[in-house]
Amino acid sequence: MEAVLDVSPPSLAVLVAAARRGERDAFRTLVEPDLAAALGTARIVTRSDADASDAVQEALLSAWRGLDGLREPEAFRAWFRRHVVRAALRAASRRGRVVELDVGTAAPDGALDRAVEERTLARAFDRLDARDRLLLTLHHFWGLPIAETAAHLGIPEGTVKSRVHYAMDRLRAAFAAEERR
Amino acid sequence: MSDPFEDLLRRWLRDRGGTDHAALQALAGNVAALPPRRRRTASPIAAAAAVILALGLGALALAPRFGSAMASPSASVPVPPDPAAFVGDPRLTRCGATPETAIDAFEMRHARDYRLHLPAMGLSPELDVDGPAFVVVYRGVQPFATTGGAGASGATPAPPRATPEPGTHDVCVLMGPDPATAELNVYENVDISGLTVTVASLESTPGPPSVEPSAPDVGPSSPTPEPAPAWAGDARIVLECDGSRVDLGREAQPNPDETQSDTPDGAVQIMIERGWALRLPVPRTGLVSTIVVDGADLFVYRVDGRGRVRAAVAVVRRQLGPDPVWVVGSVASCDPAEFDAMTTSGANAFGIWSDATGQPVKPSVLSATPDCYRGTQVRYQGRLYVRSPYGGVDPSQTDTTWAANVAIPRTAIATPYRSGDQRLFLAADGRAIYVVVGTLAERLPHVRGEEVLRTDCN
Repeated sequence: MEAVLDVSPPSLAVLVAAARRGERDAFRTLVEPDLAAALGTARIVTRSDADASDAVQEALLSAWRGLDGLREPEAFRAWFRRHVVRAALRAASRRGRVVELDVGTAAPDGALDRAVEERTLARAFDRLDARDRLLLTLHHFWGLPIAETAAHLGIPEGTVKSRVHYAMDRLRAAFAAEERR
Repeated sequence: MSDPFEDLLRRWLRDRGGTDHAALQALAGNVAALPPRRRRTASPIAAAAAVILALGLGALALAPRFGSAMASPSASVPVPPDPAAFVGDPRLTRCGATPETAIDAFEMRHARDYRLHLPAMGLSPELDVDGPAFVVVYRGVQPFATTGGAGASGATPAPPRATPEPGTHDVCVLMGPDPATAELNVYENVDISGLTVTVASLESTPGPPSVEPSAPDVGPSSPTPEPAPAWAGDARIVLECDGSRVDLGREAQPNPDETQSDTPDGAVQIMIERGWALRLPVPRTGLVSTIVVDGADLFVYRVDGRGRVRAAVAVVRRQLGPDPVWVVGSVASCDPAEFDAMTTSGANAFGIWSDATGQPVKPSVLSATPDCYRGTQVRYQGRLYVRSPYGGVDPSQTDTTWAANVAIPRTAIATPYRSGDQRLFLAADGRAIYVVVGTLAERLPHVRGEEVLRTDCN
C-alpha cells in the first residue's frame, strides 16, 4: 500500500494563524512571494536603493506587528502590499527629490538609442511627483488590479483610471521636454 | 494595440525595479530578526451600554440642530444640468466628456455638498472640501479606461466595462476653481437618483443651536424610520464651535474600508486603535453615541464641551455583503482648546494643565501623546510615564503598574500643576506620577527606557 504524503502548502489562514502566534518562518512564507515586487516598487518610488530597503523593512515590521488587525487571512497579500505602499510613500516624502539610482546604466544589449531613451525616461519619471510615480509603478510594474490600487490609495476605481491616464500624459510631456534638452 | 511609450515605460520599470538578490536575501533574513509578537488583548468598549441607552435621546436633541444648519442656505448658482450649456468649457474636456457623451453637467458651489446634489451617491471623503466642483454624469462608461499591464504580480487586468451597472452612471467630479489644475475624481456605477442641481448648501460651521441641547424627557423609543438625509455621514454638520472648526484635510480622514466593524462603536474603536485619532484633534475619550435618524444608518459619536458639540465621528452602515458593516464616514472637530480639560485627543492627550499662576504648562515640562489601546504616554520633566487602562504594555517595561483608584502615597510630592479638579503628584522614588482627584489617584507608572513598546499597534 502506498503511503500518501500530504505535501500541499499550508493555506494562508494557517500561515497567518502561525504568524500571529509569533512564528517568523510562517510570516516569511507569507511575505516572500511579494518581496521582490515590493522592493522593486519601493526602489522606483523612492529612487534610492537604501530607502527602498528601509521602506520594505518598515513594511515588514508594521505588518508583523499589525497581524491582529488583519481580518481576512485570505486577504493577506493585498494587506501586506498596502503596508509596502504606505512605507514607500513615506520614504519618498522623507527623501524629497534626491536621486541616488544610477540612471545612466546602459541597456543590457548595449543599444545606444535604447540607452538614451531610457535615460530620458528616467529623468522624465523623476519629474513626476511621488503620487504619480507610485500610481504608474503599481499599475505598470506591479500590475495590481485597479480595485486594489484604489483601495491602497483610498480613491475610487474610476479615479485610479483617470489618474493613470493623466499621469501618463504628464510623463509623456516630461519625456518630450527632456528630449528637447 | 500596444503603445510603444507604455512598452518603453514597462521595460524601464522592470529594469529599474529589477530584483536585487542581495537586498532581497537581506530582507528575507531580517524576518528572523523581527521582534517577538505580543498578543493583543481584547479592548473592552466600556461605553457600549451607554451607547445603547443614548439611542433616541440625542435624536430628538440633535434633529432640530440639523434643521437649523440646513435652514441657513447659501444658494448654488442655478445652472441647468444640460451638458450643452457647457460647450467649450474646459472642465467638460478635463472630464473627457462632450455634450454628446454626457447626460448631465452642473456646478457645485462646494464639493462637500456632493450628497446634497447626488443623495444616493456613496460616501466619498475625498470630496469633503470647501472649494467649488464641476460634475459630469456620463452617458456611457467613463472615458479613462486603462490598458493595464502584466506586471510583477501577474494579476490579470479586469476586462473593460461595456456599460455601467444597470441603474447607475459613471460620474466625474472636478474639484477646484481652475480647470487646468482641478483635481479629477471619477466614480463608476453611481446611483444618481435624486440628482438635484440647486441645493441649499451647508455652511462650514453651523451657528448655535436653535434649540437647547438638553435631552428631552422621553425614553429610548424607536423613531419612525426615515430615509437617509442628504448630509448623512458628514460629521461637520453637528459641530457647534465657538471659533472655527479644525480643517482636518482629506488626508487625515480615516479610510472607511479600514474601519469596518459589526457595530458602530466597533468602527470608532478601530479608528482610534489604528491611529487616526493619534494624528487628529478628535477626542479619544468622552465619545457618546447618538443615533440621529433611525433607519438612516447613521450614528454620530459626539463630544460635548461647555454645553455644545465640539467633536463628532459619523459612523454609517454599509451593505457590503450579506451582513451589514459599520464604517467611520468622517470625523470633525472644533479647536481642541474648546474641549473640556478632561478630554483627551490626538492634540490634547492628557487634558489641559496649568501651573499655580494659571498659565499653561510648557510642553517641555508636561506633554502627552496618545497611543494605541487608547493609552496615553505622558512625559513629565523628561521622564516617560504611561496611562494604560486597556493594557497592552508589558509589565517588564514599567517600574510599577497602572491603576485607576489608589490611595495617594503619603510620600508623594505635590507639583504645582492642575487640570480642573485634578492635581499632579510625583512619587517620591520617581516610579510613578499620580493624577489626584479628592483622596483618590490614578497611578501612571514610569517607563524604563525612552519609549513604550506596544508591538501590536498598527
